[in-house]
Amino acid sequence: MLLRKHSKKGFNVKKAKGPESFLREMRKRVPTPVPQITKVQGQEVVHFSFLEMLHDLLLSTKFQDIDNLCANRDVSSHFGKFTLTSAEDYGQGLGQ
Amino acid sequence: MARDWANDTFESLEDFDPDNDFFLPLVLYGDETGTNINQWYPLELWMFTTPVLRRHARESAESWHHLCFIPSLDDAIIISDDDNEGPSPTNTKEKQQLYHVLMSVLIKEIEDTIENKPVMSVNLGGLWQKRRLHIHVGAVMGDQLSQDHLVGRKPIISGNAGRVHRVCMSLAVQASNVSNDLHTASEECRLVNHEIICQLNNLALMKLDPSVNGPAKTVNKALSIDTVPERKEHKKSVDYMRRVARLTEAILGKVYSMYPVRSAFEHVPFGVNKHGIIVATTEDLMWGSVGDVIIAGIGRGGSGVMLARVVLCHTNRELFCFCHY
Repeated sequence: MLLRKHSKKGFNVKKAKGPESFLREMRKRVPTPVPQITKVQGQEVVHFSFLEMLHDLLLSTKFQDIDNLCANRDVSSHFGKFTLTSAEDYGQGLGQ
Repeated sequence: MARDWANDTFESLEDFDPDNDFFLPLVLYGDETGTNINQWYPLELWMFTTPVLRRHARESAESWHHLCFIPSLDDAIIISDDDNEGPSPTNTKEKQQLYHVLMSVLIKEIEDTIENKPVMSVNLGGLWQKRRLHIHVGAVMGDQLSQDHLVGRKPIISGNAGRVHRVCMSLAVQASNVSNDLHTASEECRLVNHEIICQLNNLALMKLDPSVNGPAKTVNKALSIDTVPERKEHKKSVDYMRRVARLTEAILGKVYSMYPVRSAFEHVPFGVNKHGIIVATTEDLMWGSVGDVIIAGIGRGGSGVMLARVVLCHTNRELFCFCHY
């Protein structure tokens, strides 16, 4: 899906010389947190920066719609403690 | 997310400024999966999300972000810090400890971030504000096997004299005792004492190498070994410590069905959940519950014994308050 989207924007997959150049080109177009490899006692753990991932999560479009969130609709208490106001609030994330 | 946990944790937050801060609970999820069609080269994938998102939003792949991939320990070879290849972890106890060492790569980063209370732009329903984040881990999800790894419990699923569940002290052989009097039987359902387990772990894992800081080094400093009687006293002390370590390991194994493990989650803030990872590891979702009705699925560990115990434990709110997803 991502490839199709960027093909429409001018990205030509046939021009990629190999997997590495393909990934390099895609990374330029789709900036994502880069995985890091840490070696511990001979084992390689591939991990992402938690801070970057958290930042990425908070920027996601899901947070754009208040209906997706366990947050008070009143703007003055938007970021405060979530108060259940309707039956559908029960069983939802912070309301369960 | 347990509402009570979220509310109580919110109330307990220190130096929380309602105008500038934001309470952000986290949910972690991990599961081992094969990386090719034959399920070879398995990796344990860890992801996270936040229960600030409602359920329908959380079900979207976009709401889950990657944390790390823990390699399979089946063929792992431990290599010490000085690059000498050590023995392969042949038993489950060593694998469990290695698993926690690998997990600590991820957990350390989470701990540091949580401690620093980062300031980030938060978008709630189109309203953007820079807020200082008070992050707490609410729950850690996964299948029974993964959850048992996190706690350090022995893989006892089919039932025997071991404990029936990682949070419950009841024996598996008594777990089906539900037919006569549910309430009487439920009294046998007791939460594992997290503090005792921590103390036992510390004793079982105490460092007996005199070259590193620990009780053995303290004994070396306190007792001289110049004369034969002194050397005897010194040996007695070291032997005593070894016996204590062996005994506590046996108690952990026989009474608590656990391995001594230095847990990667030791310093992770779980809000008001004082039992830490033991209670934060939620039930397999195949054992979901809605209200007072248990909806049982058939999956790994999906035996009748487990179902009976889940029904019993459900009456004890503290035990399963974290399984309500």
